Amino acid sequence: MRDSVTGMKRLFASVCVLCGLALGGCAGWGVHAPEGGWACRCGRIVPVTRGTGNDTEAAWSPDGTRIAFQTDREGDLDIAVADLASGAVTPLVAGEGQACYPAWTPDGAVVYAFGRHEGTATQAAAAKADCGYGLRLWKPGGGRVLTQGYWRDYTPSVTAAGDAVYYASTCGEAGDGVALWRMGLSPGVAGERLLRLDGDAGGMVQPSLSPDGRILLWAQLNNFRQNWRLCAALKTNLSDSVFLTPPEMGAYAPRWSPDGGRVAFTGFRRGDPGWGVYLLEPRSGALSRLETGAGNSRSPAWSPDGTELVFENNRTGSCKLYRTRVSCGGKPAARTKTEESRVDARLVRKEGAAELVSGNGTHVAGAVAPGQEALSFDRPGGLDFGAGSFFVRLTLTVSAREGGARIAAVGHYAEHAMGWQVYLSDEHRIWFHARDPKGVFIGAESDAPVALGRPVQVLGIRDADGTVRLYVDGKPQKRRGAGATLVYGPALKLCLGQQWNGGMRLNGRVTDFACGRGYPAGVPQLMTRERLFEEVAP
Amino acid sequence: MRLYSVLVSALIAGSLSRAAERFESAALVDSLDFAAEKNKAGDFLFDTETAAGNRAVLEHVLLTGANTILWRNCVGGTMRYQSEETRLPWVESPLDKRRLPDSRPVYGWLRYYQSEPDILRDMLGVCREKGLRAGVHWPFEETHWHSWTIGPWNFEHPQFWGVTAAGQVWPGRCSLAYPEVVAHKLRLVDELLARGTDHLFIDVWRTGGWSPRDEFVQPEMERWRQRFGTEPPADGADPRWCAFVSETTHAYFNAVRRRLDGSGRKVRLMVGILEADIISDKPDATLLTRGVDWRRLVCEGVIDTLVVMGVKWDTSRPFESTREIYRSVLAACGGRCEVLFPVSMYDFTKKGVPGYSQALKRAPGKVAGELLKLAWEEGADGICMECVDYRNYSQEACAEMRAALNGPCRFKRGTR
Repeated sequence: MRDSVTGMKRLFASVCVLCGLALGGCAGWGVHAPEGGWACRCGRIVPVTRGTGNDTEAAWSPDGTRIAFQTDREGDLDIAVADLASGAVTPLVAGEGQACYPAWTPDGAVVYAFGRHEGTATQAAAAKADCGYGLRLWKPGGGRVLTQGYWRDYTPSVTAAGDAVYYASTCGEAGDGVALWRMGLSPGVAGERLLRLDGDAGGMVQPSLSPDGRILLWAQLNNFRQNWRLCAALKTNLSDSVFLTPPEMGAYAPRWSPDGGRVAFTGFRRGDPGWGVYLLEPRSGALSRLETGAGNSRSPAWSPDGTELVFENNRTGSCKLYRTRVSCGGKPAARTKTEESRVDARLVRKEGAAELVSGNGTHVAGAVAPGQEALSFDRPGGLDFGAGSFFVRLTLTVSAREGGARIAAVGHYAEHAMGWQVYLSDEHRIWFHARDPKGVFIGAESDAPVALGRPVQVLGIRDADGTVRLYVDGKPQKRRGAGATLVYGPALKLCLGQQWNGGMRLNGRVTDFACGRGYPAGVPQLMTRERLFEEVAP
Repeated sequence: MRLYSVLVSALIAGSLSRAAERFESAALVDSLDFAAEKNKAGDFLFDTETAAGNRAVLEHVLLTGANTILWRNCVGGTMRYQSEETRLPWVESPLDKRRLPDSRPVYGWLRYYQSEPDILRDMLGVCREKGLRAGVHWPFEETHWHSWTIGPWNFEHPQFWGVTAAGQVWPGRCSLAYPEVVAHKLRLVDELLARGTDHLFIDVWRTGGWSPRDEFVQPEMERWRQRFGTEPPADGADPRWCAFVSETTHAYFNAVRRRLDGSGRKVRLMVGILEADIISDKPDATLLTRGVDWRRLVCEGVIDTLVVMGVKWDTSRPFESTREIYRSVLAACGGRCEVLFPVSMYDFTKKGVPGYSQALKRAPGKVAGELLKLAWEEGADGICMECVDYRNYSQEACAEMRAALNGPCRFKRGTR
């Protein structure tokens, strides 16, 4: 009996292996249904490299005949090139040290990262050694060092024009930060930092410019508990970026297709068997996972004609390179229309009374707290902001500093008694906060304590992607929040100058109040996917 | 007559071995804590990627009077020895581009995982040669608050990552609900055994932020549905959910126990808990925030030693309340395992020696000696010093503790 069970297990395993091999030939879209009717499939999976060692970070040459990659066949990393016609692999950069992340220039040279660590970290620090990872240029007959220092420059990409390289760098960073840099490829040109994240726990890696040269794309990690996400921005305004992949998905190593219409990247979503090659249609956000067979598949790179991908896969126990044809079909879902702004509720004061007038014309009388400037409105209309962006705008005058938090405005919802608030902290700074779906506080803080004895204009914005922003007297404040994506149903109460339960009263007065969906006039919207790609549409 | 002689001999031997029980002073040692220490001239004091550097670290730690050394084996899922299980490539940023590099001088450039000789094997050997108890301090974490600490095995297996009730995966933190993850951890145990550890201290205080909130993974969800016929609670801090998750961690500790026992030699399993309080029927902090039921581990004899990492003492009665909590914990353990109490200069919870010092208005060095004596008086088996670094145990503290350990607290109370 035991033997027959074992035999059945073996048979089952064999069938599974055969099925796996058949699927390895590439087929559908796996556990996630195609989105918006758009789906991509790959063709036969063809090995590019074989043998021992790990071959990774492939880059297809501009003429389509070769693939450069990094390999640890000889121990530390070297750069090698596979000739696609003959299958021959030849070293490009070998010897001691780690040579990695090859990127072709249009004229057939290769930019790569190189680091060589001799001795210990203590010895290097004591000697003030220049031993980080820097960028180098290889070309037939010679090359040169582009950058070098006690930092890490890596994941370079060369512009289509071949005039500059974009890369990730820790230069000037004190913690775990990694910033985006650019450097012209003319001799003697220094690199410049383009963008860094606030704080020292987040970073941006593997930047590349779109083929039309207008959009920069990279992978971003905001902190260690969040996923890597793809991010993009206009080259001319990198600080106004937009995420292209959802927060619940791990996504990194993006590469533009040659026509700029697709992005290939490494991704993982809950339910996937492991890391896989994903395709993104950036204008719609549609995603499609390629079924590349067993093992983790990563770091895809396009052929120059955009018909094939090369990627690494560890199905054999070590990473090897494979290539496959890719075709996409169907139409991505229509883009959603950019949100329009509108005021949905505003405060009207008349002869000692106050009412909240909603956009549909309903009036809710305010209850005035005895002897106080505080107001409350039961079941006010116009505060059901839903999942999209909304704003809260008010004018407050604070007469004097008082200890403890003081409320300027608070929306009380079934979802959370303090669904959003504008308040003064113990340090007398202004906060605007909203909530994430679990009710966690996510806020933006003013750069300085609130001015006393004069009207102060406060504007809080929750963007559709969960970003929380604050403007004081028209000026954007530095500290923002992220992830406040609570869906707001009808409000149970609105309070001005006090907490929903009457506590934490403001030592001052809220004179004007308005709120609504979208953005108030004159406030720059955060970049959205739709705007980003509309602006570059021909 | 012959039987009588055997009995007497056995009794004498028993009482002698009892008399020989040293009061333990365990030090948790982390090379990283010493890596960037400089003298007044600006020279580095310890090169912790070298054998000599780590020997110098040990000499410094021994000033505290420690007789057990528990050497840190990892940061997050990155091992600090030549691990095959978490081997290169891609254990280092930027070679793994998913790890954001640490840019600090020295700290950000250390590569303990390839230091020669193998740090852990070497230092465990050195400790034994010195007659010390040699073991490993293994945090119950797989990430240590930075992406560069995530282990390569974890990065390679996203399908095992933890998930919140809202469906958010935690990149890099794998769940013990998957047999493959347990098998991976046990292979790490094998590596520690092969390097000669005689004491394995799993520190559940250090989880890198993990808690039962992150265990809404498919196997756990299915197990809940099968048992209760309902969906799991949405709140990951729900005591029922925490107790449920603790069954999985309990099974893991049992698996570790069996692995240690299967090594053919006596290897002590120690588990650290946090915020010890008067024992009651209510779930404690370790259960609610770590999903570990330490009382069950003690009761079932899974662990040899309970290490109390922190005590929830009353600021108005620092030592009195500490005594009461110690008695409560010792009573709960009922002699089924050894118990170590903290003498911790590390004051993350404000309940360490600096916290006592502030509440009592006494010098930290004095307090350290007094806490050691207090633990001894209450019948503990020893003390544990968390994160002994170059500066935190002052000369005065070291002198106080050494005087006690070499004097009245040399042996466990009642064993002389």
